[in-house]
Amino acid sequence: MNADLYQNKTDEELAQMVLADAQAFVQLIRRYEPRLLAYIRRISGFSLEDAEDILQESFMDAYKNIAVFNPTLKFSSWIYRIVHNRTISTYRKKKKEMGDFSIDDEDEGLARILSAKDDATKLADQSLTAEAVKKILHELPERDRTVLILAYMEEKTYDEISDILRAPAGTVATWIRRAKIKFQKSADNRKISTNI
Amino acid sequence: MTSVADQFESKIEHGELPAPLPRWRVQAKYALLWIVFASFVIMGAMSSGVAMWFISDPGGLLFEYKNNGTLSKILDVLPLFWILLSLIMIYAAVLIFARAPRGYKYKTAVIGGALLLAFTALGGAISAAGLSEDIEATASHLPGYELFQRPRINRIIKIDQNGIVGVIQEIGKGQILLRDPGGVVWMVDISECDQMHIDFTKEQTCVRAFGIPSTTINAFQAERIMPCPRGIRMQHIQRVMDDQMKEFSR
Repeated sequence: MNADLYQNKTDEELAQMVLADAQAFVQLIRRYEPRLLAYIRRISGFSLEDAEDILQESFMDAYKNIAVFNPTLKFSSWIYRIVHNRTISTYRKKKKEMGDFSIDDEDEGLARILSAKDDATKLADQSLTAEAVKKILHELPERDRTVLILAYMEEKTYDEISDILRAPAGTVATWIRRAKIKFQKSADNRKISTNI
Repeated sequence: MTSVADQFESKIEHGELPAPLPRWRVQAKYALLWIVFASFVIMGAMSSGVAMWFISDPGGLLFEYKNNGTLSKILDVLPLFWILLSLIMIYAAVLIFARAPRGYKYKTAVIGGALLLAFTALGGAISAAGLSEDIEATASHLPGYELFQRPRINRIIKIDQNGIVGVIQEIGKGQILLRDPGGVVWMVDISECDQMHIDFTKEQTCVRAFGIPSTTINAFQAERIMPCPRGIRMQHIQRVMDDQMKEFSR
């Protein structure tokens, strides 16, 4: 494979090449594999093996439907959407049989949630541990958890989240605001119960 | 364990990867989506146009109703079928638009509101261009149309004993010859008519006359004369009269 051929191409340019050259898709997979794997685990808490299976199926979906990709959209948002949909669909099926939520404690995203601040309120007290954040995230409803992870752990903009979740940007902003309030409440309750 | 990228690369090398969906199929799917959307918009605009044509009927609300409140009168004459059809088209168009590539960017209420405004504007234009009557006349041939319209027709053409409905046969000085649905030709004196809301230049126009009928000859002293409400045709009047005759003979 001529790596230089793909090196200087943007994701969107590579995506447009895929129909004629499948190797371009391998390059895209290499670019996105680590962060999408982390994303699957963050929103679902799946084991590494399960997450890899989901990722493989998602990339297969993306490859089959590459002609659907709209070049005016960011490839990143498009692939996140496919991965998100497949993860959520699998998560809903497996939810009951799942045990603990297994995000890595070393996940840097947890630290970002911990340090996320609003103009008026602090999202979570700095004294909360990464473990507590994981638990709170796990307890939050699916949509609240997803928007918090996308906004703070994946560091996506409102527009990108809007493209990933297929919702208007204004609605996404509302979801994030509500999720933050719920997170704050859960964090406060956890602090109280810990103190007791 | 090999990475997903390596597994894909190996599949490509061994020719195990299925062919992606061709671009023309995606384009055809979106083209079909927009065609369906445009069809709903056109049908919605046409329905709104007919609804507006019915609502703006100068004779519609002027009909004589006894013991009926204003709201009841308005509800009676509203073309509910056409209004309902417009609303269904808005709903269908919103559903289709939400499936368009960037449709999710807009709130449902915004799309619905925009379509409502578009339907009103286009409907107004259709009505102003005089196309509504033709659309309604075409729709009247559709099976089941009259069934939907019957309650409105029955209410709106209920005429008491001081009224007559018919088609203008001849226009003379101070009088017109009117043929009623039973085929009887009436000589209608319009010389003392204080309200005439019709276009006398058109013969074969369906009109309603209110006044005093003669008890001996087929003559009628009109006090007010109006066109038949929009969408009402001779066969409707004939049917209502036949129903009344059947009821009378019982």
